[in-house]
Amino acid sequence: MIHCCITKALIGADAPFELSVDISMQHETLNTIYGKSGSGKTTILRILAGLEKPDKGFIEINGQVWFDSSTGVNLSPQKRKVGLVFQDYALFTTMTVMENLKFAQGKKNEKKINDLLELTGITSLQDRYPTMLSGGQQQRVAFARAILREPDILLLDEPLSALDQHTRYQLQDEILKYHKSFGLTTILVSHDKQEVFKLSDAVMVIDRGKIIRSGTPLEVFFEKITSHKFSFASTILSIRKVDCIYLAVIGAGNELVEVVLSEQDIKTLKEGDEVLVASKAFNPIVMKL
Amino acid sequence: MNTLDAVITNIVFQESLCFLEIDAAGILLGILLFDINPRFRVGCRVKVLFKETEVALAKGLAGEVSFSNCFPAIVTGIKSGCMLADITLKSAGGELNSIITVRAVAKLGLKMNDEVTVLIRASQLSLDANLDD
Repeated sequence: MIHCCITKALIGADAPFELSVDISMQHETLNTIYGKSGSGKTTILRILAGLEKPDKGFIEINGQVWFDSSTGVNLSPQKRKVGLVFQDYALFTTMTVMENLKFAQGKKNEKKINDLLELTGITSLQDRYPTMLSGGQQQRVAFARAILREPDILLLDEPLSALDQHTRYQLQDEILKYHKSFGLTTILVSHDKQEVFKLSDAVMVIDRGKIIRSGTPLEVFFEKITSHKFSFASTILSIRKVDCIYLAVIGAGNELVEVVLSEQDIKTLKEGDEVLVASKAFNPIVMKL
Repeated sequence: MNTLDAVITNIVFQESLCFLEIDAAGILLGILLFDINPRFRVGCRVKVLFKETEVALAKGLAGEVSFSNCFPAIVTGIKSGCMLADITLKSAGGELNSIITVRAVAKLGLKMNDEVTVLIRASQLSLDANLDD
C-alpha cells in the first residue's frame, strides 16, 4: 500500500497554484496520473523519488515512512527504493549497456542482469553504447535499469512519448509484461488516452494541482455515453465516401476498425479527430472459433 | 447519428436490464438499456442517440408491429446513391435521417412530402450521458 498526501506551492505558467493531492495505491497495481502539462504530474513523481520536498504532508510506502513534515522524516533519494524512467532515456553515453546496468545495481548480481537483458530483449546489445541504439532500444535499457533496483515503486514519466507509434505499442505491451512479472507497483504519467486505457488499473485526472477525477479508466473516460458495453476512445485515421454513406477507419489498440458514418456525422467529424466509438450490448454477433 | 431531445417519463428495472419510457416533444419512445447510470431519473432531460442505418420506414402501415418505437414523419429530402439512399425526415420530435436501400425507396414509392411511419427497435436507441438539467 502506498499513501502519499502532500501539498506544495508551485509557480505555474500563468499564476502560482498549490499542488495538493491525497493518493492511495494498492500493491502491484499500475496507476496513471493523467492531465495537461504544467498541472503538477511530474512534480508528484519527483516528490516520491525524493528529488523535491513537499511543503507539508507524508509519504508512506509499504509501511515505511519516507517523508513526514510533522516529524521531520525525509529519506534521501538514495534510501528510497524507486525506479525512474523518463522520456529522454538518461543513460550514460560513455558506458555500454552492460556497464550502465552494472552501475545501477547496488549488490552485484550478474545473473539478474542477464535475466533482465533477456526479458527486455536486449541481450545482443549489451556491449553497445547507447548512442548506437534506437530510441526503443534505449528505453528498454532504461526500463531494465529501473527494474534492476527492485523498486518499491516504479515511476514512469511519459516514457514512450518520444517514440514512434509502432514502437510505442510494442513497449506498452512490454511495460505490462514487466509490471506483472516483477509484481511492481507502478505510477505512470501520460497524456495519451489510449495508452492510459491500455495500461492502467486506476487513473487520476489532475488539473492545476488537484485530482479532479479518479477511478478505473472505464469510469474516468467512458462516462460520456451511458450504458455502452462496447466502447473505446480513438482517432479517426481516414474517412472515405462509399455510395451515399461514409466509412471511417478508426484505430482500436493495434487493430483497425471500419465504422459507417452518415452525411450528418461528416459535418462534425473529420480525419484526426479524437472520438468515442460505442455500441450497445445488443449489437455484436458472437461466434465460437 | 440522429439526436432527439426528450424527457424520461418512466424507468422499469429487471436486474441490470431496464426499459426507459421517454417523451420527445409528444413522441413516446422506449429504450432498452443495461446498467443505466443512476443519475438518469424520471424528469431528466436527455438526448436520445441512434444511427441512421437503424431507422426503418413504412408507408400505409396497417396492423401491429413489434418495434417499440413507431411514429409519423414527413419526407423532406431524398439523396440516392447507387445502392443506398439517405432520407431526411421531419417529425414532431425533430429532424432525423434514415439510410435505407434504393430498392426499398422504389418499393415504398418514396417521394418528397410523403407521410411515413418511422420504426426503431428499443435496443437501438442510446442516451448521451450529458444531462441537460
